[in-house]
Amino acid sequence: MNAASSTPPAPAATARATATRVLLIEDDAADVMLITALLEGEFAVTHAVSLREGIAAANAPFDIVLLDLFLPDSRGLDTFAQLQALHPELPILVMSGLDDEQIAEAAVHDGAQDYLVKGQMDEVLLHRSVRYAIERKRVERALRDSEAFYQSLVENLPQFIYRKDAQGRFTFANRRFCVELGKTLEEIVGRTDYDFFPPELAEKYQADDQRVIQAGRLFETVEEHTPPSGEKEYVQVVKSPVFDAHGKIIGTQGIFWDVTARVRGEEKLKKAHADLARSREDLLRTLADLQRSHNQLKEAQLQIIEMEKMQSIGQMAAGIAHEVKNPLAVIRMGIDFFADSPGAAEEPAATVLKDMNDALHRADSIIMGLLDFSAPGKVDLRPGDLNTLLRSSLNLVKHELKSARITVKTEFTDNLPPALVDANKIKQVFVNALTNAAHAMPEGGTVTVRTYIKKLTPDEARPGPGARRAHEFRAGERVLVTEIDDTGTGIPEDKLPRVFEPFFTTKPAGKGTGLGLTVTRKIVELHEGGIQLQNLDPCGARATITLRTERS
Amino acid sequence: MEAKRILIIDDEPALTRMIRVNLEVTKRYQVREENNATHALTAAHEFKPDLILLDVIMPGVDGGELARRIKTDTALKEVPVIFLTGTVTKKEAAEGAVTGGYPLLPKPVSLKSLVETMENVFAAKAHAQPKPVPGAKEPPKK
Repeated sequence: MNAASSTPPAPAATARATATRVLLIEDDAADVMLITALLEGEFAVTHAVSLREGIAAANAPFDIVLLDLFLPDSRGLDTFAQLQALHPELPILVMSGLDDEQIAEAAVHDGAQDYLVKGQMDEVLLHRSVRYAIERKRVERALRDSEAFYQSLVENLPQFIYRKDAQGRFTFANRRFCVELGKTLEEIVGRTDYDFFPPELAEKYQADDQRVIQAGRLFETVEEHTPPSGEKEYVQVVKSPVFDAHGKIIGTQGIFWDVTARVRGEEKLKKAHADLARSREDLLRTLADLQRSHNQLKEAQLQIIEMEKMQSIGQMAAGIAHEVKNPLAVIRMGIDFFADSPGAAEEPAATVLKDMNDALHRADSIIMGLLDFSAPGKVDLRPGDLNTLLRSSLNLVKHELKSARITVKTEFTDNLPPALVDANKIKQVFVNALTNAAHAMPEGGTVTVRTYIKKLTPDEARPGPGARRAHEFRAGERVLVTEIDDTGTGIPEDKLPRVFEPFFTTKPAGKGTGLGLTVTRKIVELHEGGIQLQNLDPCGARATITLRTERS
Repeated sequence: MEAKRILIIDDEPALTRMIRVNLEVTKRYQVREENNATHALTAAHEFKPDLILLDVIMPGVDGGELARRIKTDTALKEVPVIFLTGTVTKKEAAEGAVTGGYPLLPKPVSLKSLVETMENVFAAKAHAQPKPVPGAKEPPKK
């Protein structure tokens, strides 16, 4: 036991280093002796004889103070009040006599941990009271810390926080919420949303609260507000039920905060995303357009090359024709001279003259073909009946077909709209196609001539690669189609792409000039039409000639 | 009947010779050849032909131009002309039978059609058919 002093006391010699440190403020020597004796062993007791001395001694670390309320320098409740005011963290156990128990109770009411009545304490009671007092103070402190912690959290978070009872009356609002409403907490508590918000908003809030109460679950939403002053604002709201100790829902609590910036950001992001997607689509479209333009250019280039080729062949043909015509004219006159000579009608002179004459005709027809090919093209388009034109063309070649043992089949569609044609030129096309069919069937066969009208699909309207077309067909356009099929040998697949080239022929010498299909195509193109050749399965070939109907 | 005087203007000597031989063998025609187009008018003035056979494409002066000069020449304007050409198609020959007011024969022409055409021209002239209009339409040029 040490006497208290203004300097921190040294640990009591009798107390262990870990012993509970007790400051006993008591002026009665007998009580000091008794209490010290009761505490001895388990507690390290320091003793002060006055309040002043006790207050000074309490600056040292103690676990508890045993305080007599009646001291030489202070009496009654004030003794406790003074010590507590200066050392609020210390648990205080007040001691009183039998006749002043009421004052001790008042001290407990004011914050003392407990009170002991002198003369009624034994070792067990004293030990238990001291331990309980320390523990109670510790719990109080923890509770206070915890409250302070939550208080700080609720008041300092940048969110608006409130609680309501089951009737929708506010029971709490944090400072931020109070400021937002422009009210004090007292002005808010007990009131409802209807006291602070426009009716339709208040109604919505109450409905949300009811939903939370009924579902017993958390409710989360983003609300839109448009303040009268300006731009739309967004508020994130989380509402949850408040339960009592028995798990019964007794109200709601809510926390909300401004998410305008976030929502605006999201909207911007969404818009940026959409813009990006649009830009990408635009890019892809542009790319496709470019690709298409590129293909068209390529095609146009091919056509120009082809046309230039044709033009130079045409010029060359005209030049050759002129140069060859004079020698032919000389031979012509020579044959005529000898034909009128005596003995010309006799053999072998007659045969020689006939062969020369035939050869001259052949040479002349080749030259004529060249000139036809090089002649500038002009057509006189008039409405004409396709079937009639085909019948007349068939009539022109009927002897050739008959002598080649070729059967003709016609599959004409009746009542076709008139074709827009130059009758003589288009007949030349048909005759040429029929002659080609006949030449493909030296052992005889069947030629089938078919007519019909059809609406072009986008695929059919597009010219094939390398195809030359002065005027393209449109998808959906109604065109007149003539098909001339033979049952001959067909065209070798590798030769198909070249059949329209000038001087390209698959026929034996003397059978073709190599200009028939070239001139044919030229005529069809002058009609703004199309011509195609294809092989048929299992044998034969088909020429397809597509012509326009008379335009309205 | 007096033989008709035919002047052939063509730069191909073999052809003019052939035509001369073929026509003269009939005894009905007297033929003079001229292979140089630039001498054609002089030859015509000297020979005084009843008919001129005229090639279209020739070095120096082309047949169309020569035909115009003949038509504007006082001594020659009444002389009929027949064009011979290697540069027309059969169809053009058929359609343009009267090119620039003159008949046009495509080479190689047979003796038969040449003689027929010439006789038609003489017959037409004899019946005082409307004369060709100078420069109405030019023969085709190469």
